[in-house]
Amino acid sequence: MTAVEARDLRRTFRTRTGVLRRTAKEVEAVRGVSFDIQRGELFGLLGPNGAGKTTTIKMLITLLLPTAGSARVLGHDVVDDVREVRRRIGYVFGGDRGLYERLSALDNLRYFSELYGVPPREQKARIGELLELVGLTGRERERVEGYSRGMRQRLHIARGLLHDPEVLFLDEPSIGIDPVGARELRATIASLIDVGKTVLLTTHYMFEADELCDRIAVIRAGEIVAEGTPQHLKRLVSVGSVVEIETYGVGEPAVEALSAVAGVQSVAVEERGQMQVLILHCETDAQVTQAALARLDGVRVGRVDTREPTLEDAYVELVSRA
Amino acid sequence: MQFAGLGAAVMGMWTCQGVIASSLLTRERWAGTLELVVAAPTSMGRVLVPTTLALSTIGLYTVIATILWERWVFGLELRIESWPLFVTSVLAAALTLAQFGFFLAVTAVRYRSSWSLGASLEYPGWLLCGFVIPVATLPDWLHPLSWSIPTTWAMEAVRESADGGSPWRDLLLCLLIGSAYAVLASFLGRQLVDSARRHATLALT
Repeated sequence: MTAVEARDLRRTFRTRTGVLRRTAKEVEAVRGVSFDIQRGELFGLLGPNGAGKTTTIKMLITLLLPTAGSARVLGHDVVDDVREVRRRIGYVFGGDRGLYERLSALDNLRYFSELYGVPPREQKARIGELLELVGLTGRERERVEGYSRGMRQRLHIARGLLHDPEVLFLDEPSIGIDPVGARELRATIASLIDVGKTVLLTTHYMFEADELCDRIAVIRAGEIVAEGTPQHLKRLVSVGSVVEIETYGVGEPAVEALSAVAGVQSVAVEERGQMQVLILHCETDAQVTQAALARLDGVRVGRVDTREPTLEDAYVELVSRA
Repeated sequence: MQFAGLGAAVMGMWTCQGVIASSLLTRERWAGTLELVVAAPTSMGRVLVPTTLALSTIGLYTVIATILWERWVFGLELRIESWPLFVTSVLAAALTLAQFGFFLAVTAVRYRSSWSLGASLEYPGWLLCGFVIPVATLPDWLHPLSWSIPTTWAMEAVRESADGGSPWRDLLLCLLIGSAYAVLASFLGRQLVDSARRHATLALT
């Protein structure tokens, strides 16, 4: 059964600038987005900054009215059945904001329990369970202003789950969290699917999407450019293999020379401390390693590695296409 | 002095409610919690009215504190002919100010700069509600504006009860006008939230 259904969703923002001479500007943030999310599915929405991910989510959670198109959550229209949609969804976003800093975590959760209509008799037990789930038991009486970013993020998740929503919208929940915290967060998200929740997740971290998502839609400039399982998306790209060459002190001319090697589609340079890693996206069956090393004559070369394209390679190619 | 003393007592309640109520949702917007409050299945009234009632409660403290300061620091002893009617009038002022505060607060859902409305109402309110000068001394064209604020009638009721007169007509008008603001705010709340969803003004960005 479909949990979330978006049909040709569009959203245009109109802004006005100037005091005496008012000039209007229109920005089409979302341009005809359509997708379905099945119940119990973890669906990823990936895209660069400004691609329209958050705007799409905000339309689905009733915070923004679509300019055109329609969307339904658990069969309820996000424009006409606002109250019914809100009862059934949870919304968690990344970052430091969205909590009452001067209140303790416990008081934050009590307040949002009231807002989300959690019966008073159930509140205490529910809050206790969620604090346990997100690992904040024992710290719940401390003011949020003293919390680390990871603790805040976990509190956000607890807040989003207070009323036991069937569908959860997670907008970049792991942004700014340290690796250990991010791993714990991924485990928490995975456990939500185990208990039957439907999750829409946006993230910039490809390994996170690859690990968690059943299906992914890649959004670019307000349009979905690809949709499918992580494996399906990896097969969509034209890259046959990826060669990574560790170098020290490589110059621009050498990088340009590599681009000219037969079979090399593109070259990217990734700075890692003193080292530059050259990432060569190669055509299928192309043997480029020897030719590439020959072009790096005089450059100190470290490890050379050939690997299959990752979801990140697929993502970069999908969002870079003109 | 009795006139100024009573006006000063209620003035604190007005300032407390007007300025803070109109910036309530702006603070939520800055904290990033406004979207969460709007996305909850609870009406804006259930969120805002308890808060404006709390502000009125703090306002009641300012009434008591002002009366005590007037007595102990400035040597001004207010003559209150009927304490029960005086307390009833002050409570009516607090209740209707909470209703008026709800109206001020709800406008901030739609307009990001509406907090400035409360700040700009503070000093004119002192004159319009008759805290520092009698409303009758204001220019005629300002009278309808004064009468449209429930606190004007609450202030009249406070003075009447202190002077031994009957405050009931003023109390009735005060409660009627206050309730009208509450009903208007409930209706406007829904309209303004929809407008904010259309114009994307719930968040700062």
